[in-house]
Amino acid sequence: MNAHNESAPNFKLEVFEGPLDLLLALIEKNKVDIFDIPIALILEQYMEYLERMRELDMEIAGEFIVCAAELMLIKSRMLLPRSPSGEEEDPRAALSAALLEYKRAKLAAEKLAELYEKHSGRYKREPEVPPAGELPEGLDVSLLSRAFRRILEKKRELPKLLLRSERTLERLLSGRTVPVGERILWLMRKLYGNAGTSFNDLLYECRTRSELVATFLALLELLRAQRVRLSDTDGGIMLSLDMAHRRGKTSPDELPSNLTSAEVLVPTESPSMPEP
Amino acid sequence: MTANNNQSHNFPEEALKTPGDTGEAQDRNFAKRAIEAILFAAGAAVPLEKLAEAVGIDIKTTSALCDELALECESRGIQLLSLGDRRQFCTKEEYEPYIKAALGVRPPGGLSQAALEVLAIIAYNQPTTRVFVEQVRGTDSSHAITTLLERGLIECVGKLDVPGKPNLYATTPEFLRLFGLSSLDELPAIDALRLSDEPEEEGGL
Repeated sequence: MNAHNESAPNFKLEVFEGPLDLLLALIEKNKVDIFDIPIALILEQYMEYLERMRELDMEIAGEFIVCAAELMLIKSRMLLPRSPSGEEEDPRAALSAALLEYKRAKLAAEKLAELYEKHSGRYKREPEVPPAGELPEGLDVSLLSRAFRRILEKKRELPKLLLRSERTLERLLSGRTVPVGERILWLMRKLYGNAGTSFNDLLYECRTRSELVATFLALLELLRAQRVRLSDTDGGIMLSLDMAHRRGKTSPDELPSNLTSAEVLVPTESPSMPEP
Repeated sequence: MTANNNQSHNFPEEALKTPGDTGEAQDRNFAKRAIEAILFAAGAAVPLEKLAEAVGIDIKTTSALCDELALECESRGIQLLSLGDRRQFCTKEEYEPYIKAALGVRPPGGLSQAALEVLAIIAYNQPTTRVFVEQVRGTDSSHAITTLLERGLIECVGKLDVPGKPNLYATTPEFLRLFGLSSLDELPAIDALRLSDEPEEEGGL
């Protein structure tokens, strides 16, 4: 904390990563032992800092408030008379442990920063041919249709009420065919910043059959263009954006140029569909 | 896998170990050059197992040949990195300014304090979950995790078998490369206790 310049508004309020970061700074500033924290003093300075943040109209994250409440709890516990046996735990023990653990993380981060500074100038070259993903053996088209049917069946098991509202929606939307391009964008936005999205969850989110089919085709398109990577885990098939192909050029709001031709219109499930 | 790989050159193992005869030495040299070619073409870090399989020799010999290649690189602008059980060619750190001057390479950019903290927690506790990271830092860390995933420094290696099946994160070979480590065992030791007893952290290192 900046103790100087108390009268004028202090625009150079130090920004902390979180409440633990702030507490560590206060402990270092007061040169006190992490295992023997003068709670009343630290709490007072902690609240002063929050007050300054408020004065500067800074948004105070919820965790700062939670931590303040915890500090107050510890302070009140400290005021209680110790039991004569004297065997109970120091109310500050958990806080000390948490602070120590965070301090370790901060020190490790410092060391990593030094290493990064020294070594990040190592350049590799991009492979001429991107490595081909290895396909598991025994793949068959019937697997796809079976998976698709399973999804449709599972969707039927949804609670009645939800289903009814879905049906209503479906009727309202039945005239609309969902373009694959739209689902490609939807899918990329969904996967952006989301390391693992389950294939099943993705399809359950689709409301109509048209949406379902379009989403599935969108996924195939993205796989073909190697924008999306599949991985097989115990929890089912997981999807994630292929990082190797993203590097700065594909933001979630940007449709990859080679995918724009994928505007395939998918017919909805409608009884009046002309027979081929 | 080696058995059905009829395209690979199968070198007699003894020949590779004792390059006394000229022909055997040539075989050994050929295998080494093949490894060099694969690593150059790959760009990324290649597992020793893959190299051994492709060239048709055992992993131990592959590792030894890679060490020789690394030595040969001493007089060159590139180096052969050992990243856990993977090997990778990359440029030497000291030539970074020249590469930038010639190619205008966009620097990878620094890492924020938050990203470094999250990376440190994951590196020292891997594989671990976002919840664990946030517990240690006492604050939301999802944004930093996304950044690290995008930079390829961490990856999702599976799910923890608890309710909610949270993602488990671990560091990548890319992390080892950019932080100058050849394995996770080389992560610097952290002694928070000793330092916390001192009023100032002296020395920095």
